[in-house]
This record gives sequence, C-alpha cells and structure tokens, in this order.
Amino acid sequence: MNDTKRILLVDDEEEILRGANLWLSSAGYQTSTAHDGMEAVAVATASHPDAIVMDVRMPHKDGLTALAELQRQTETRNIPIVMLSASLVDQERALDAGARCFLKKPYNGQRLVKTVNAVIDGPLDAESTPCATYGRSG
Amino acid sequence: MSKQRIRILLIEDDPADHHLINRSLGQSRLAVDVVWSDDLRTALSQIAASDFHVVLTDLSLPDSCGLETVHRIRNQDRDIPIIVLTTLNDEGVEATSLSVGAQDYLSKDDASPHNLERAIVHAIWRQEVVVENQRLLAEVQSSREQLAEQKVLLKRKNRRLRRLYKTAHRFVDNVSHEFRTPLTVIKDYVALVREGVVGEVNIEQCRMLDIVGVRTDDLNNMVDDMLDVSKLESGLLGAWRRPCQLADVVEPLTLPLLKKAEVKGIVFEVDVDAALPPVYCDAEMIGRVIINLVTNAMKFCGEPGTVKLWTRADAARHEVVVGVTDNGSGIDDEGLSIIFQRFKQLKRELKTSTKGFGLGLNIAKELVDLNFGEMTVESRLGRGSTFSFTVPLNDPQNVMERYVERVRRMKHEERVVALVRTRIDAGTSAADAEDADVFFNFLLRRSDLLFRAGVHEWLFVLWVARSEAADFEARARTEWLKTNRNRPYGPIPDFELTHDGQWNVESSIDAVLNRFRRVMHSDADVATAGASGH
Repeated sequence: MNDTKRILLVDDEEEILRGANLWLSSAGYQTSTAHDGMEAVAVATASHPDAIVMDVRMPHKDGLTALAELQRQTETRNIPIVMLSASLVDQERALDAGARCFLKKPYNGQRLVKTVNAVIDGPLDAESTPCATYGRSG
Repeated sequence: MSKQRIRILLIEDDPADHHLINRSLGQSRLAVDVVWSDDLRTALSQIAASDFHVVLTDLSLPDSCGLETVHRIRNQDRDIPIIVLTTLNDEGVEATSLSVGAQDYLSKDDASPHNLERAIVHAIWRQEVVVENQRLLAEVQSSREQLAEQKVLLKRKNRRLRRLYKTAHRFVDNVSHEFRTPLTVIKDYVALVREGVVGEVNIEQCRMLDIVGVRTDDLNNMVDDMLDVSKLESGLLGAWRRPCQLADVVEPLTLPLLKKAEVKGIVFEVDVDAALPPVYCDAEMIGRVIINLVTNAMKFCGEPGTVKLWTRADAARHEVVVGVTDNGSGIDDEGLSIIFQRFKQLKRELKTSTKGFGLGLNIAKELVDLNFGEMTVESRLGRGSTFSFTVPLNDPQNVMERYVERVRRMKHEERVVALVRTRIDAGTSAADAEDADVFFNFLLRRSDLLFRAGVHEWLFVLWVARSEAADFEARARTEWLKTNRNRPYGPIPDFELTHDGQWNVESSIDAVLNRFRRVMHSDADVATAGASGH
C-alpha cells in the first residue's frame, strides 16, 4: 500500500466534483468520483477509499441513505465520511447518522482540504467527535 | 297581571265543585274569564283551539283519572300552567303531580278566593320562569353546539396553516438550496483560479477575483438572511445553544471579513479578548449577527473607513458585550429612534427593512433575542456609530432565567417547560462521559437546553407541548440504539432518565427556577455547564 490516500467524491453536480477534485489532488490526494448515493455505495464497497466527501441531496439515492448503508456494512463502516450540503437542515441529520464532519456549501476549498486531512490523520481524541464547520465564513 | 283578563279553563265533572270554584274566582280580585269543561277530551280540544292562561283541573274525570290527567294536558300543551284541584282522596298524588308538569295543587276545601288567586298568579309566574329557563337552556345548548362546530373548524384551519407553513418552509429551503448550488461553483472556481491552482494569475486579476469572491459571499449571506426571515416569520427558527468561546465564533469569520475590508479599502480591526469567559449561545447564529453588523458598518463607514469589532465582559450582568464601531457620519436622532423602535418591538414585519439600514439589522436583532441577548445602538453625528449586543455567559442559573423569561414572552399556552435529568454510571471514564455529552447534545431540538449538572449528570430543559414531554425518553432510547449500531468505537455509556416535572411558565416561573437550582446543585460533582461544545 503506497502513501497516496484515496478520496471518493460524491456529488450530482459535475462542476462541483471538478472543483473538489482540483483542491484535493493539488493537496496530494488521489480522487475518484460518483454521481449519486447508489454509485457511491458501489464504488466505496469495491475500492475502500480512505475517506468519502459526499453531498446530501442527490438523485436516485440521497447522501444520508448512502451514509446509513455504508455505516451498516462491516467493510465500509470505518471509512470517515464528510458530508456536504447547502442546507443547514441537513447538518444535524448528517452528524446524527454518523458523518464525521459536515461542511456547508458554498465551502472554502482550503477548508475542505483541512477537513479531509483531519478525518484521515486527525488526532485520536478528536476522532470520535463529529465536527461541524460552517462553510459560509470560509 | 291584574289589569289583564285571565282566561281560565276549568276541568271539573262535579257541578257542585264547579260552582264552588267559579264563585271563589268571582270573589277574587282577579279579572277572569272561565271556560268550563266536564271531561278531558273536550278540555284538550279547547286547549288546542284557544289560548288559556291557566288550567284548573280535577284529577278524577269521566275519561281520565289521577296523574294521567296532568300528563295528557301537559302533552297537549307544553307551556300552559296547570293547577291540580284535589280532594281528600287524592292525598299522596299532590306532590307527584308537580313532578309530571303541574305548577301547583290546591285542595278544593281550601279554594278560598284568596288561595285561588294566589295559586293562579304563582302558577302563571312559575310557568313563565320554566318557559324562560327552557329557552335559555336551548340557547346555551345551541351556543355549545356552535362552539363545538367552530372548534372543529379552527382545528381544521390550524392543521391547514401548519401544512402551509411546512410547505412554505420547505419551499424556501429548496429555493435557497437551488441558489447555493451555482454559488458554490462560482465561489469554488474563483478561489481555484485566485489561488493559482489552474495557472498563474497576475496582481490585477487577483484583485478582481477577490472582489468576485467577496461579492459571492454577499449573495450567499443574502440567501441566509432570506432563509432566516422566512423561518423567523413562521416561528420555525430555534437556536441550538451550547457553551462556546467567542474567539472560536469569530475566528472563522475573520478571514472573509478582512478580505472584504481589503477589497473596499477599509481598515478592519478585530479586538476579541481571547481570555473571555465562555459564553452560552448558538455559535452559527451569533456568527451571523457579527457578519451582519460588520457588513452594515462597512456600508456606512467614513472615508477612509475604519470598522472595529470588539468584545467586553460584564461579569456583574453575567454577559459579554460584542460591539461593532465605525467612523461613519453617524445616525441622526430620527434614524436612531426608528432603529430603537424596531429593536424594541418583539415581532415586526421583518421583510420591510429599516430605511437605509438593510434587512441585516432586523435579522441580527431577532437572532440576538433567540440567544437571550439584547441589541443596542449608539451614535454621534459626524463621529460614527456603535452597534452592540449581549451574549449570556455560560452561567447555568443566569442562562436558565433568561430562557424562562424568553419562553414566557412567547405566550404558547399549550407548551410547558419540562426538566429531565440524565445520569450515567459514576464509574464511567472521562472520555466515555465526553462521548455521552456529545450524544446528549445531539438529542437537543432547537428550543431545548442542556446543562451539565456534574461529570456524570446532565439536565435537559425541554420546551414542548404538554403531551409530548413523555416522548423524549422514547426518542433518546431510539437514538441511542441507532447511534451505537453505527459506532465503530464501542457503545456510548448507557444512561438513566428521570422526569423532574413540567411547568406552565406563565403561572410557575419561580417553581421552575427553584427546581432547576436544586437539580443543578444536588450532584456531588461541581456544577459547571457542559464544557463540551464542538
């Protein structure tokens, strides 16, 4: 296993995937993408990424449902998941459902990188504490 | 009554008795017209045909006897006064005759002019009272039915309104979500280009991209404002309050605000005392208040502009004051009084912004209020203005007093304040206790409070409909199981819930506060409000 960490990006907006991909790959991550919850569960189960960055509102299967499924499966249970949404209504739901972090859209790219760094290498004591970051303020 | 002639129907088969009664009537002071009937059948048809004021009847008639006589007359006419004329044989029937609809009874032996007169006048009067009572009863009954109908109607309307609110709320949420998707792409791509991730940019391009970034933030704040307005007006915006450090609230706001100041050529100074004691608030909301106040100040500051964000602890009042001071032209008395008026009113039309001062200030005031604080403005013409607001310190007793006071002002009579105590095993490790703290915080609905009464004990303050207070435990259990199922690190410590009671705030403010004080100090652990805050 080499040192390059792999991140799965999930969003139904191609342009948002492209932006997130640029930030994370320029920070040294290797990324793959999925466009809805169904694809996300399939890709995550097959490829075991080191972290998942996933939107909440998507067609076919939304992010919260996918999150719940990933938490149920033994092989994907331990993958840290960062949820994104433009609506704060989703924040509590996402954290309740077991997301490690929540970022509000529009998010700041540098903060996205920091958050992903934290969920992958974060200090152990912070690991069990879900975090909420408000993207509006950058 | 004595002026009017009284029409009497006398039912009597004994000519001697008839004669006797007739004579007594003639001698009384009443002006009477007497019609005589010697059997009941004829009498009943007479009652039907003409309008009598009173019926005097013997009980034993050729075609009817005893109480049946009274019954049949009453059935013929619901309202006519009946006086029963009795003989010695009728003893025992007298009282019963009243219960089947006669107004009075009179022994034929006592039928003196005076007695007859009194019996007739009283019978007519009593019957009038009975009729009036029946009318009133009917009225009450029909009002009651109307009320019941209206209640059903109101319930239906309420349900419809609630549905409409929900729909409207969902609509606004969806629209703002739709707005934010393009905003996300714009902000992200501008930042990517600005940071040189996709190629080199020159200084002028950087400056322009900074402006685009700041303007995108403005648009995004406007979406937040609109969402808040819609939630505030439909009463759906509650606060998620917890202990936090003001410096942590301000930190993430600083960079974009500095960027904004730089783009506008304004000196923006942040002077937040890092040593401030912890406050108790919804960090997201207080952050929005600060953004709105600073944005407002940047709009109205002087040339060259300076805007300062500062804080000051006021230990005596158990609060921190957060202020934003600008060097603008100030606000004249008229402007100040308009703003003050708006600040004083509890609920106003949020959609109409105060002349020239934007929607932001109105929302800021509401958000401060939701966090138990107050907003003020001071201004000197030509010198500048200071908008400031207060945030309560993390002092449970004081926060609780503010909470109860605020809840009382909301006047939701069907809601109660419920205190629910939660305890985990005293042998639980500190790390597990913190996990439990995080979990309890996630159980909070937006109008609830959570206090840490000790290392292993918490106190929930719930503001719920009377009937819902008991549902809390069920929800806590379900969430606990659900959370544990999804936890790779082992289960959250099990807990024990005790309902401490529920109170109507309107009538029992002191009872709630006393109970709260006792619970918070009952544990052997030192009472400090939950120090968890994320």
